[in-house]
Amino acid sequence: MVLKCQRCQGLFVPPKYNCPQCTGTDFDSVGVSGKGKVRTYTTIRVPPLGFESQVPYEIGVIELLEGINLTARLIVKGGEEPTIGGKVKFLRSEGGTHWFEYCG
Amino acid sequence: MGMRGVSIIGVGTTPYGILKNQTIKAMAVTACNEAIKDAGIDRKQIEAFYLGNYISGMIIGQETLAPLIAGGICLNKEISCTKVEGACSSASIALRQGYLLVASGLYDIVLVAGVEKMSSASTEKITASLGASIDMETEGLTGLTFPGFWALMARRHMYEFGTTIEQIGMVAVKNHKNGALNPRARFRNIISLEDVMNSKMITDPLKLYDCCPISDGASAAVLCSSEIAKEFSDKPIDIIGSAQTTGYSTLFEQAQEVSLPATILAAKQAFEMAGIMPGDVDLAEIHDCFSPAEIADSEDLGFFEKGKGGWAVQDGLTRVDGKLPINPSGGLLCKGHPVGATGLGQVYEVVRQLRHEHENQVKGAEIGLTHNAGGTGAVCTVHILRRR
Repeated sequence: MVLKCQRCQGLFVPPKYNCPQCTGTDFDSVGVSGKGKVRTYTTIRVPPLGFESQVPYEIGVIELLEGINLTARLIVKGGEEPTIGGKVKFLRSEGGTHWFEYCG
Repeated sequence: MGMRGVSIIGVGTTPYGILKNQTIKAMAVTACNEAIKDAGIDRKQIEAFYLGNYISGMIIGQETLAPLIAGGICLNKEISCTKVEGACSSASIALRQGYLLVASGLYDIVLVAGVEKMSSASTEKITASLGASIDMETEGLTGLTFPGFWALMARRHMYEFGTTIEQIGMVAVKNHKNGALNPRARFRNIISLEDVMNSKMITDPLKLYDCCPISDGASAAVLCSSEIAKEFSDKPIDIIGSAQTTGYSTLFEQAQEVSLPATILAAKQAFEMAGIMPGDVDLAEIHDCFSPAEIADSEDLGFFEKGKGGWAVQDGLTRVDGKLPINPSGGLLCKGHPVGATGLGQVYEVVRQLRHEHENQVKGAEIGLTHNAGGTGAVCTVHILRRR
């Protein structure tokens, strides 16, 4: 689910307070395809506090089919190396973190 | 309202590094007292104090630093003492705010400083505290770190422009060669490209030598109205350009991953104010928190076309004897990055260069530029200094 500005129809990843395009404050929740591609990615090997048990983990900037970007955790199948432009599919959102599966 | 000229009449600093027995107060006091002495002023002449600091609350549990340090150096109680925070550009913001007070005609003499104590905490705690600059409602929740942020940018820069991992590594090699000559630098070791490539992977594709080291340190400067600067200093350094702009608190909202928009805006403002072009700059101390950052910054500042920064490093253009020396101090990568202090550490180095008294002197330096990008480029400052 993403936010759609009622005034200018701009689409944004939540949360949003004032619309970056028109400064409006009214948004609807709209569903999106959950499909996208990798704009860039990295593997975190030195974690911040609280993430020690998860290293190494992948993070990517995803461009959704609908043309909006977001930063997400990537699940990459063992041994596979993501590429820029590779396809991803939305898995779930947990407490504000979005998880995508790398499909290649 | 007419703005008048502002000059730097004194600078002071601690070395940057693991300063084990130095408290945050001790470091800040050292830097401030040195700047006051260098300026040849009585500390009671100081009419305002700005102090930059990023994470002392999270790391050492100390807040409300400005009046604390002001008390340490016995400034007048009638004056305002203000802490400013803008991630890694905190000290430059202190400079910018101090500059505005003098330029506006309100005060004649203002003290600005920055300080950070980082070595007392674990790497994980430091990593998390620095990462708190990222929007913690969105991107910050993913576990993204600052090395990770710049790894994402580096990969995209390599993809869009063909920048190579070797060119990125050459930034670290150059800055270590520079830092080896700087007694204030955390590291004094010369490294080869092979050393960079063989160092521990931190966040793919960035390795240990591509990342600035955790450091303690403090730096300070005394600002003075240009009209009266010569009463105090026979080598006043004039601030001819000053800008502070705003960017994004995440990478994804920027809609591109090869530039920091706030750097582009700040450079434009500062160059316009100074009435000069990027080609007129003799040396620059810019924000090489990670080696790809120096490449992207050098382009965003207007020194090289977007995408050509990697080749500029490879061709030696940014060496101390090159066409545009970048980070002759060793930069954040080698000198170190006590995050809340760095902006004024850069000013210290540029002032020494423009006084023609630097250990790694750029020949005939007349105009120097300093640049800081705070966090995700959420805040950016550019200052242009000129020898009178």
